[in-house]
Amino acid sequence: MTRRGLSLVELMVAIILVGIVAGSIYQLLLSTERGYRTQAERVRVNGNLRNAISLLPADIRELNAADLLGSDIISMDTSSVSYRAMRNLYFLCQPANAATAQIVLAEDAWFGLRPYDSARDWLLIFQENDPATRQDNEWLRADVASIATGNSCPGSTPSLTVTLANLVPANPGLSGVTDGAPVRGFELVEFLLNQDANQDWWLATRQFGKSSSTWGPAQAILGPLTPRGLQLKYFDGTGAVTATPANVASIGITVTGQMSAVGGGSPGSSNNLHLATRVALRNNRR
Amino acid sequence: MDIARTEKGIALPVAIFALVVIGGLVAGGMFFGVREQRAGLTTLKVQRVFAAAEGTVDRTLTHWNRGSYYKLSVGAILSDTTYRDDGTLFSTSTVRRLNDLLFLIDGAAYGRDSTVAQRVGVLAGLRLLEFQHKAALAIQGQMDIGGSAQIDGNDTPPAGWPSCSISAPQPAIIMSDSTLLSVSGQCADLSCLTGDPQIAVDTTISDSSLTNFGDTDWDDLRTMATELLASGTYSGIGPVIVDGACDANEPLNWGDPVNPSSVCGDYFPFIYATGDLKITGGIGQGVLVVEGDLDVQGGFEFFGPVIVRGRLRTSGTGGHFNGGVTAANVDLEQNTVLGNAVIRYSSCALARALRATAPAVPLRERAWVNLY
Repeated sequence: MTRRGLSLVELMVAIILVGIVAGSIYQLLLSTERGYRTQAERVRVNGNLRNAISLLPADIRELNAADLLGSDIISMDTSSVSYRAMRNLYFLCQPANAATAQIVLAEDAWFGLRPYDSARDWLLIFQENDPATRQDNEWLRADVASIATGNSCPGSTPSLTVTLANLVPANPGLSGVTDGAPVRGFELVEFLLNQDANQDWWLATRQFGKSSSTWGPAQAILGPLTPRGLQLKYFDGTGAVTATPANVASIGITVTGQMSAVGGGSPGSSNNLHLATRVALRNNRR
Repeated sequence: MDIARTEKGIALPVAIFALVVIGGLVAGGMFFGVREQRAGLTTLKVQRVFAAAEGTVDRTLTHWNRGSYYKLSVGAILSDTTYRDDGTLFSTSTVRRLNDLLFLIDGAAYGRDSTVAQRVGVLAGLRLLEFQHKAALAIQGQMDIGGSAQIDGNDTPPAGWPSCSISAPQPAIIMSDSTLLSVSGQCADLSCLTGDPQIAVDTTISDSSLTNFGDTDWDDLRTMATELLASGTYSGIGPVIVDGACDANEPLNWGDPVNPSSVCGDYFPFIYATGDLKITGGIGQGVLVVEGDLDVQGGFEFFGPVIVRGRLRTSGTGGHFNGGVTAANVDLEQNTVLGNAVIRYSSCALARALRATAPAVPLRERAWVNLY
């Protein structure tokens, strides 16, 4: 009796062939899946880096490192920088009152990131002095003793009446501060590389509290970054590296994003992604 | 029974399954790739639009439209929109007057596909010429005054000009050495000189102090000019109105100082004569700068500062200057103010002409503003 079927040899050949084909397919699946994850991770890290690179320059452009009353850059090193960050711009709607140390700002014509915040902001006030010369133009620095809303601008339009305190320089005070003079509000901010409880490194920021006179806690913004994930370099007007805040004319920023293990990253890995830029300070004294 | 037809295998389902999984992963990878590309393109667009916003502010400053912006009242704005040739973006420049001297230039740029926008600003002030020596006439070297000439340091507003205030009297003449002054005719007793004092002596007067004006040197004056005038003799200077508008393209239209409410009444050119200039009549206002000598006859009347690098000469019916005259006389030749010339100090004429002809420049510090 003849029975049709597979011999043992045929069966083994079939199993081996199926194994080879299945293994190849598995390898293909595995590498494709790995590529997919790496791609997704790169997109995530790149997005983080782009955000980081766009955050810092917005503040840095507005710095005046060469202010004669003291540089806007308060401290600087390779992984942190603290500075006066400009937040709003107002205009006087009537000449400053030197006797009462008061200025009246037009409340309905301000520009900037957010309106004035008395808990965080100090003021810079433009002083024209002699209209016939630009040489004596200055920006006075002041704190705010009190602030009141009203309708004291021409045409009874909304106003902020600000009583100033700790005016610098105290002499000649508010004389020469004219109607229409710009007033800039700023807060003290630090950008730094900060390590959290999980030992991950983050780009973080913190604000200086006016009432507490101390820096607040660091708040992570973006990350994780590598342990050297924020590298800052400071250049003077000739392009040479400088360590003097008053000489800074541009700042080089390099941010290195930490790829997760899935994406092939590790602290020293070449797979980690970098993004670098250099920002010129626009407001230095000229 | 044909075995080949009835044999059931798993190769096809496995292959289909693998293709579906791989297809899904590839599609996912492409999705991330496309997303990454779009994010990159958006970053690029943001940078382009940011540069365009800054560029429009720079362009507004570089091509400062003195006539238009001078007329802006405090608080008023003037906008201009520019479309880029390649059609990818457009930008808007808005100039807001903050006070007599200050402006906010607001530059905004937008992608044509409405995906990106950036807005920056610059605080700018008028760059006025700064005169070190305030007087009706500041001069160097030999000076001869005669005939019925008058030099008056009392602050005199031009007739009919609105909102002029009067400041303290200035010297009639300021010069380095009063012994270089010779008088004759009706001025023999110095009665033609009025001011406080009549003659002020400043030994520091030099070529430099008479040809530098704050941070503006002589070479800058030429770049500030709105009209370059070749060396020569000119007459018939006066307002030119075409189709009801003041014709700023006419080189001899120097505004209408005697009719301040006319269409040329607020037109103040900045005139730079590249050599010797002889004027035989007419009226004008603005800033008059002469690279060589200035020779005036025929009752020419001018309102605003007159700055002469060479010597000053008036004769016959002379010239009437309202504002102030500075004659550097760098070659130390003889200056003569003869005939019935009148040089009268006017802070109002000076201030208005200087403001109307001044270009705007960013504040010395903290000019740049992120307007968000």
